[in-house]
Amino acid sequence: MSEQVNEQQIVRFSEQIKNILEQVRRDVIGQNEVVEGTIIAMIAGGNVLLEGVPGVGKTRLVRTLGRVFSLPFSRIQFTPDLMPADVTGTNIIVRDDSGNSKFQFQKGPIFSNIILADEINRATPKTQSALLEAMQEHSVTVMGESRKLSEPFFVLATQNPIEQDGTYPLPEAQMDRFMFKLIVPMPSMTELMDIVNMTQKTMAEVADAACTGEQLLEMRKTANQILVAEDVMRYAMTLCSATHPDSEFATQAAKKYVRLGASPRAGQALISASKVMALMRGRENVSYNDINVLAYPVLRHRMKLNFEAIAERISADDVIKMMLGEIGKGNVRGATDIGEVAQKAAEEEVASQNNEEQTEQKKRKFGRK
Amino acid sequence: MDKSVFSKFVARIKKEGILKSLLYGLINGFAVNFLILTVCYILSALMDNDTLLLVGLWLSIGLGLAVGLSTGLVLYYKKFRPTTKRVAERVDGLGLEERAITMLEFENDESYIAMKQREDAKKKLDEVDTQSIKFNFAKSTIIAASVLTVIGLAMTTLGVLTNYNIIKPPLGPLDSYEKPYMEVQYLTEGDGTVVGYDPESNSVILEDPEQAFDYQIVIFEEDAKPVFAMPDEGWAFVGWKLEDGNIDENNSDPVRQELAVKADLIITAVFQVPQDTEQGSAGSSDDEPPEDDDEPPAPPDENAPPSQNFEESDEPGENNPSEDNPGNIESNGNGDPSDTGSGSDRYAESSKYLNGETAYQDDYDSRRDDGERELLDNPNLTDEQRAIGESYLNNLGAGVDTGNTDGSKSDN
Repeated sequence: MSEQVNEQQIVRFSEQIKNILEQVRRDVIGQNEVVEGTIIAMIAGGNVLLEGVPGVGKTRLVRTLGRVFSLPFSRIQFTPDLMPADVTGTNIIVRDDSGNSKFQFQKGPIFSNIILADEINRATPKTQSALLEAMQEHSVTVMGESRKLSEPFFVLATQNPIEQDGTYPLPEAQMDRFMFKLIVPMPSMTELMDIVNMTQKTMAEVADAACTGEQLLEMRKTANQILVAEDVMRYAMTLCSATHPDSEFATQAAKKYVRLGASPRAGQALISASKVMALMRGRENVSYNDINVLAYPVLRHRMKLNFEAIAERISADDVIKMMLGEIGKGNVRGATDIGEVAQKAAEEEVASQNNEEQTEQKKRKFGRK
Repeated sequence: MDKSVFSKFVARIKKEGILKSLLYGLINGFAVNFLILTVCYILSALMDNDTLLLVGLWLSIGLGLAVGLSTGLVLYYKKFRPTTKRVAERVDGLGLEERAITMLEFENDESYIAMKQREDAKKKLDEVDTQSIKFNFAKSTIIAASVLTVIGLAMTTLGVLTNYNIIKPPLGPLDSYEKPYMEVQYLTEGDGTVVGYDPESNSVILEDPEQAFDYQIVIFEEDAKPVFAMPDEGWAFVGWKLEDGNIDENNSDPVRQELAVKADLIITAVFQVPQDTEQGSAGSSDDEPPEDDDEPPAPPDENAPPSQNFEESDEPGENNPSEDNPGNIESNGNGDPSDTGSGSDRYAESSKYLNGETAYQDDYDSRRDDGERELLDNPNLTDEQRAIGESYLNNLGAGVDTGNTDGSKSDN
């Protein structure tokens, strides 16, 4: 039976969250949703995949979080020639005091609390797979011997969505082990100005530690006690099931655009993260809105879209929006239907064709001159 | 948990539930009312049946009320009645973010987090204004209820006004060709024909190029044309045999008319040779039945020489037929039809052949005389009987005029 929380723990949770956010914002300007999402995932005990173009502050965010949580931090730069042993560590032969040789395990960078797997999709699948056990079971097995990783343990991976040459897309099994996939957007004009102003003075990262590993584990324990009404739980599970085109709960959007739906891990992640979010918002119960908001980061990387979606330029977020429009409860933000999305796609296509025609016309005109 | 926190919302949600049930009741009730009444109205107009409209009117009102009330009640108790959970769900929709429903579900949870959640929920519930619960009716429901109420009431009003003959239905009865046709067929058994009959002039219609009488096409529930069973010479009408093979005992009159025909009919006019003729030919007394009552007399052998018929006849006037001269009609042997016997044997078959030709003149004359005597002397005859008698005598006269080719007419 889980340990009962008390008022002090709830108060501490609120204070710690406030401190964590405050410290992170000293180093990371803007990206509120990404920051909040990453913190939620870390408290809930999940791994995060950050996707964004170079230079938007992914690595800086992870470094800052490592410092704010006052946890050991390892950075692994994934490259095609990176080997699994480079990640997990390996046995090496050493001589003891008496001069005898023996195997000794040399820990890899994975033996840390926060792992920054930078550009994870550049490593080969073999090396990517080295992370699977660590991410799910928080242990590493080398030469038949399993070693537990210290808690809390997180993998915060980044990947660049543009440069696809020489990359190895993450397999579904790997993707599923990330609680959230967060899209790191380009900063707004105001944020950009603030970033430039700040970095003109100093590039130093000034965030202080706001939370220890033990406190983080306590926060997780507190969040786990948050109440989830049966209706809300059913709604979350319906949403996950609705991503499967063959499910009885399948939405029209899923039937049309999804080839493979979310796994049961998605349901676990959705509820765990919703509890943290509810507590962060000062509630002791999970609401439909929590589920709606977190459906995007939880489900977007767990759905495999079909050719039709790709041809119509429908993203996973579009599909989730359509699903929420169909079966969503509570405040479904910006929910829309397939018709509107299809129309939007068609309009974009027409606009794109018009642009191409105009470009061609300009070229011809230029050529004549 | 103290569920009184929801009590302030119950009255308003109950009102909404009642209104919604009422709307759905109206929709269903008036839909049933409209459908039933429309069907009955159209059918009654097409079939020209006022009873159907009256039945439809009451049925539509009764069933409409029953369906409307039952639908409303069932929906209220099954769907719209403000149970605590429904109230909680509804209140959560006002921005309480599932606090109320969670509080209700974990009402027996004594953990700190559950108690804190209840406190939080109660605090938020207290802040909610009852009036912020807006009645939530789907547009389509309101439109459907309005439309069906209007057309239902309109149809009922139309039905009532039509029923009391204040207005006429826009539809008329179906044209006759749309009604089913019935066949009335008159057959004959024995020698005779079924001809037409004109009740106004009290006369038969022997031939009408525009219509047939022995085979009539009659519109459903309408009357067939009257017919008259006219026997051939030497035959008498016995009765009408119905389709079950029995003689219609209710009507032994040769005049017949089928009223309100509802099915195909085959009626047979039965003719027989009169009893006394048969007796004469069989040589028996009046009290004894003929040997073969059922079989009509064999047709006369026209090839038989007249001498064979008459040469062995007994003395004139005697009523003792022999085998060779069963008709026992007096004859002078030269085929003169005037040379007939008297009394009952004047119908003797043998007396009808003179030189190979039929001679019924004396029979008809005798019949007519009897008839005329009866008409003149019998004061007990009713007008109807008298009319039929006269008609019959007229027919006999016509038969004489047209049927006799052997020159016997001069004897009249």
